[in-house]
Amino acid sequence: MILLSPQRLLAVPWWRKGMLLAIRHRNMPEPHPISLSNEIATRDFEAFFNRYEPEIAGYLWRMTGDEQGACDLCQETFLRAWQHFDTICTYEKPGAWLIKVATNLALQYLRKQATPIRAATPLDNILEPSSSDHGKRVVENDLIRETLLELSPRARALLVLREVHGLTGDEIAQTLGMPSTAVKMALWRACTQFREAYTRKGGQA
Amino acid sequence: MTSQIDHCPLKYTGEDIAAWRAKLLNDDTARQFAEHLTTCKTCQSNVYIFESTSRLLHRQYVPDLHARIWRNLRVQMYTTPHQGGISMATFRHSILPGLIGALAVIIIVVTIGRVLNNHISKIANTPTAATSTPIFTSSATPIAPSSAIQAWGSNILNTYALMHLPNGNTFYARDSFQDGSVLVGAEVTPSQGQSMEISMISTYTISTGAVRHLYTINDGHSADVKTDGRYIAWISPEIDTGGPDPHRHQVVGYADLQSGKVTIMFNQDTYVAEPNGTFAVNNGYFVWNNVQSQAMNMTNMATGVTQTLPMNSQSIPQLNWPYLLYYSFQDTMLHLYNIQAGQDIALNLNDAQHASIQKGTTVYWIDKQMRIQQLDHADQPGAQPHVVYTLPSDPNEFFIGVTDRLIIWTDSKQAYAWDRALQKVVLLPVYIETNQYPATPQVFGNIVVLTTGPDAAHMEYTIIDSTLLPTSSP
Repeated sequence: MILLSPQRLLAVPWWRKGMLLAIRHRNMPEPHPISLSNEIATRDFEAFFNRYEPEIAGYLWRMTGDEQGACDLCQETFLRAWQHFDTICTYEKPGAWLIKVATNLALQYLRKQATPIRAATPLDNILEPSSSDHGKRVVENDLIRETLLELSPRARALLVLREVHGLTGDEIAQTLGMPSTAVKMALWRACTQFREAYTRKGGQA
Repeated sequence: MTSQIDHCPLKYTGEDIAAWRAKLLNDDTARQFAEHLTTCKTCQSNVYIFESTSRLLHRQYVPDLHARIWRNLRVQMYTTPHQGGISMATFRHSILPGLIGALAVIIIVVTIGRVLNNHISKIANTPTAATSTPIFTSSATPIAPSSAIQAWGSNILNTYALMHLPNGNTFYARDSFQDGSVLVGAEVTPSQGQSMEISMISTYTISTGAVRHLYTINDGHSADVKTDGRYIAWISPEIDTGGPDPHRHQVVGYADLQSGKVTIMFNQDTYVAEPNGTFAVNNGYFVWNNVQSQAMNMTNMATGVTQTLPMNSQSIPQLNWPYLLYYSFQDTMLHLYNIQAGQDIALNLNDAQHASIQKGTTVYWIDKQMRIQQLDHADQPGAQPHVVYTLPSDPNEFFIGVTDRLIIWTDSKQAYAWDRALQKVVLLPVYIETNQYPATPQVFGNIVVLTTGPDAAHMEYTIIDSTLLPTSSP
């Protein structure tokens, strides 16, 4: 943090004072929320959002099984990212931060929901297939979703993070706050549980 | 459940396979397992369990929530401070002096540059451009192919063939919700006899294809419909029964989309309003010109109370609450009326045609020299317009659409847009010549709805959120 004494500040050429003070002010609590740099930051953040939203929204959709829940959680995840955007930008893998926040929010949400398994909203109108091909795909999608929702939220997160998002065991352990040694067992269990339930429902891999 | 793989000679377990795939094994063990895998059928079949599960999960339909999330997020971002922002106070007291210094340096450099440039121009005897008005190039640049518009995803940016609904009816879109998610319009039963049809006021949800019927007008042609997302209002065209005007039948009504309650204001052999868009809906109000009383009516659709506004206009009014933009029937001039304040301002723009209002008091129009003009603070005396762009060809007679980013006009063949972000003329995405886009585009806030032209084989809609278009050309 750069803090200049009034004496040192006087020695600085007048046209540079602004820049130094700006740096100083950046490290002090902001008295006013109105921010001139918001517009630029918004543009950068939009690019960031465009880059990571499909991954995060897809993950949350698979975790919650409903659009509104996924939307709300995704929005909350990115709102937190917005609040800490300058810091997150410096991360080597900002996506990992987002996944961790999204996971925590999703697990919290699912705990609160305490919805009985299989009570998720069906794929409403899409379930009325107008053509057989579309219908077949819809049935498969619904089956996958139902099966995923039968897993415990933690097992679901494990499976999706590994098989859809390609996280390594260590990354999963970090995201879910569990020891790496436990990940392999939990992964195998989640995968076989999913397979059994899926085939029991008549699904074909 | 056991994680033991019974027939693996090296006794590798399912957990080992999970660990290998999740990169939890050390390099040596991972290499040994990979070698083993080439020969062990049991381990291969168990790896397949993981991989087929992975494929299955990847195949799963995931709805495109991008636009929905971004829209809501943007609203929250404006009210949520973010780390690292520079406050206005900081700017005033700290950055401003620095900027002034930098500006002074720039001015000096630019001045020197201009002097030199003028000197060189005179020597070369080359005239410089006299105006900063952008020059149209003969072929407009498509802004991006449809595949490049990631933001909308496949379920929104796609075109939709709505000519044939499942029941064989035809859907004529007339308006759309601000977020472009729902079209409102009239669903028309094919005519069996002469010209009599049944027209149903319906909504069409694009993502699901669901059609919701709200009201049926017997013996009514396709009604004109407008919405603000909460209410929809309609005016059916008069049915020409061969008799004089007073005997022509008309239906004027509105519906609350939340409660489904329908209110019919007229349903009789009385000719009360011109159809074809001589009304506007915004902020829960339905403004329509009553040709019988020669005055503009304003109906509060929440309370059902109708009041009369002191003007008469047969042109298409535009309502951007509380401002109503209309052409006066009395002086034929463009007027801006502040409904809340009861203040009417004649804009005294005799050459204004094809006018549009955007965000309160900013008015755009095309003048007779085919220039798009912009007037900011139209409600304030002395406000001066400026030319935004000079059109290359004669525009469609009835349309100029304005979003935050685009100013759209059409000729008889297609829609063009002056893109303020790119500073050039663009074609709108998903322009497909063979589909003969568009007839007249519709603009709702920042949403643009393109409809196939009358010569197209079937009716299609393309919905574009102009705020999400790329900010660079491909």
